[in-house]
Amino acid sequence: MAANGSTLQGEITENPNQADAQSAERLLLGLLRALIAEQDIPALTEAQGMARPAAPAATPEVNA
Amino acid sequence: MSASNEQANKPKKQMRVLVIQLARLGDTIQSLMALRAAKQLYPEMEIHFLVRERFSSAAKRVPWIKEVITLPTDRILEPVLKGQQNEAQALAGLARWLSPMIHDSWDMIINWTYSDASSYLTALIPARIKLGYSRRRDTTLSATDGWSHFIQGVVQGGVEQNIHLTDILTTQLLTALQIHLGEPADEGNSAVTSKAFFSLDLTGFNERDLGLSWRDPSRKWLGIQLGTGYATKNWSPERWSKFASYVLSRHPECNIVLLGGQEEAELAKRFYAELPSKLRDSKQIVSLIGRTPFDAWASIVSKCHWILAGDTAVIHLASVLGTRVLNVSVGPVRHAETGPYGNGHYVVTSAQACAACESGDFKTKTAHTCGESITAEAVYAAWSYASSEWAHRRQIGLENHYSQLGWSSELGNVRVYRSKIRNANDGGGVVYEALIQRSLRIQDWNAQVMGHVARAWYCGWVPPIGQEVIRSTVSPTLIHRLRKMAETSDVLLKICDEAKRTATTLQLKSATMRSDKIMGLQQREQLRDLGRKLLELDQLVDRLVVTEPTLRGFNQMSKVLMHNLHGDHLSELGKETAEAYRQLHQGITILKDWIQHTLKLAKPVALPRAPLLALEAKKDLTT
Repeated sequence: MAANGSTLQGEITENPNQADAQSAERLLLGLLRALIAEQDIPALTEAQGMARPAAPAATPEVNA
Repeated sequence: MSASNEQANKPKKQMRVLVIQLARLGDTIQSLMALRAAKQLYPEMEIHFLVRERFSSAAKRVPWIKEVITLPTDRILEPVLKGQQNEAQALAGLARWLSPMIHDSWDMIINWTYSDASSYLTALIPARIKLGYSRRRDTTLSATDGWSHFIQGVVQGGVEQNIHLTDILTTQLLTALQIHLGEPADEGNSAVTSKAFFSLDLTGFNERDLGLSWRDPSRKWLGIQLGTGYATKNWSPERWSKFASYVLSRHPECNIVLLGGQEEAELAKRFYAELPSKLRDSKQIVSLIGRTPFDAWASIVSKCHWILAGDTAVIHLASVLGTRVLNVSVGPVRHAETGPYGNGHYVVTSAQACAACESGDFKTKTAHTCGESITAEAVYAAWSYASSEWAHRRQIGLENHYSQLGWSSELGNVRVYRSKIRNANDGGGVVYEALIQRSLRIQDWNAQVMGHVARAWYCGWVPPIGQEVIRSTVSPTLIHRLRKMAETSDVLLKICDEAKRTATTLQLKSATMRSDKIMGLQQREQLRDLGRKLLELDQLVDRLVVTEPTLRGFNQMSKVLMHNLHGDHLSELGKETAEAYRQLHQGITILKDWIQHTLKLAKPVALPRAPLLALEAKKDLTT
């Protein structure tokens, strides 16, 4: 079996709902700005403009 | 009728799937190829395809796609960019366009764009299953599945790996479908590529008016596309012109048709300026640049014997239509990921990496000089070898062919590959076999390792270690690098072990707490120490990778995996962190196995005693 089968199924939401109004607004704004930034359409294999992932989140300093 | 037959014959519930592909036409066609494979196995998929308006033509001609939804980028963005609308007005327009999709009910969203914009879109549309990039509630990026981690950490992270993008997308989707829908009804041996992949509308299009005639079976048509959409990936039009001269003067049975959009008119001018006047005026060469809408373009590509081009959509179009391709791969391109898909395609690349290649900068705008070392003679020799395969059946080597043409000196400047779909028992997917034996570069070796690691992580089955490494290609330079890497990978493995143990301790300690926030001072100190230790180990990996950049893939994967932890409580995060380090440990163990295998392969081999004795006996007889 693969190292972790559960990572292959994708993100599951049993009862998917629309994002709440506040989140939707933030996501929509993110979408608009990203579309503007991606006018020169990047290739799928090209690193995107998104911030590279940061250091591990699983630390008491971050989560406690 | 048996119960299992009844089950199989029961009509399956349609699965409504939204596929988001906001990249360019080449990526769109590769996505369509992967979708075709999935649709054959899971006909219950009802596919809705979201694509930019300007690249929607291909998807609109696919009969098994239920609906093509277009993103009118210009209509939404232009008013903001021109200052005619403020951000709030543009947002309202975007929300109106999005509203029907949000209110629809989706079983699955597959985001195959892997971009910022597409991740927001995926997050906004509700669905039961999501694959690809999305966003969390706090709008930070989320890679929802294992293959998306790999794309973020390795493919987009600029680390060489050798699994083709079409294979990644296909495997990612088929694995998810298998998990959610079970085994497919049939084995899915039908071909994905076909001349009839698209249902083309050729009303009003007469190829003869354009100077094309396919009626004479003795004539061979070669389609050349000069441009690639990025100047950095173009092979010079002057060299294409010289290549065309060789073809037309040495192969009177050949015709050439120039393909491409209006934006390639300037390249065509340069192409014609270099062409000898007698060829320029002949009917052997036709330019359709700027004159072929998608349907006509696809129809011509499907009828050509060969398509010759750089890294651009036409090579994927030809692949899907079953037309053979010779791809001159220059600039910021990794052909193993995005080369022509299928059997018998050729790829010509430079033998020497240029400074930009060496630095690993594969952004589409970065200028590369590697294309300058590929001459028209080298490409012509590769094409003439490929196009006469029916005669020589590859019984003579490519080196001999270059030599027969008197161009042996060109061999040092290029690498030539031939594509092959591997047998499923050998790992499946497309592989590009080198036709000129050369020393294996560390980056090519590493690409094979990373591909192998990905298969182990996400496919659960791997071919034998190093089955495609040929002994004679293992050079002393590679051996030296691998010996050094063996030491560093030992250290990396130990770090992973330690991090795994630390994360497990964190999980166990936090599992006994009533809350993540209220705890005793001693507990708090212990957790803080464990967290600090994890951070230190992470920094240690950063430093290690500076000394051995070949291990960058594992470091980047580590960061991606940590970024994508999704537990709500400390104990869950500890468990996931341990799982992530277990995954990395597995990958590094595979790397070590590859190092050992390659070093062993390079060791001098003693001849067995029996042949030696036979030789000595022979020597005695002759003396």
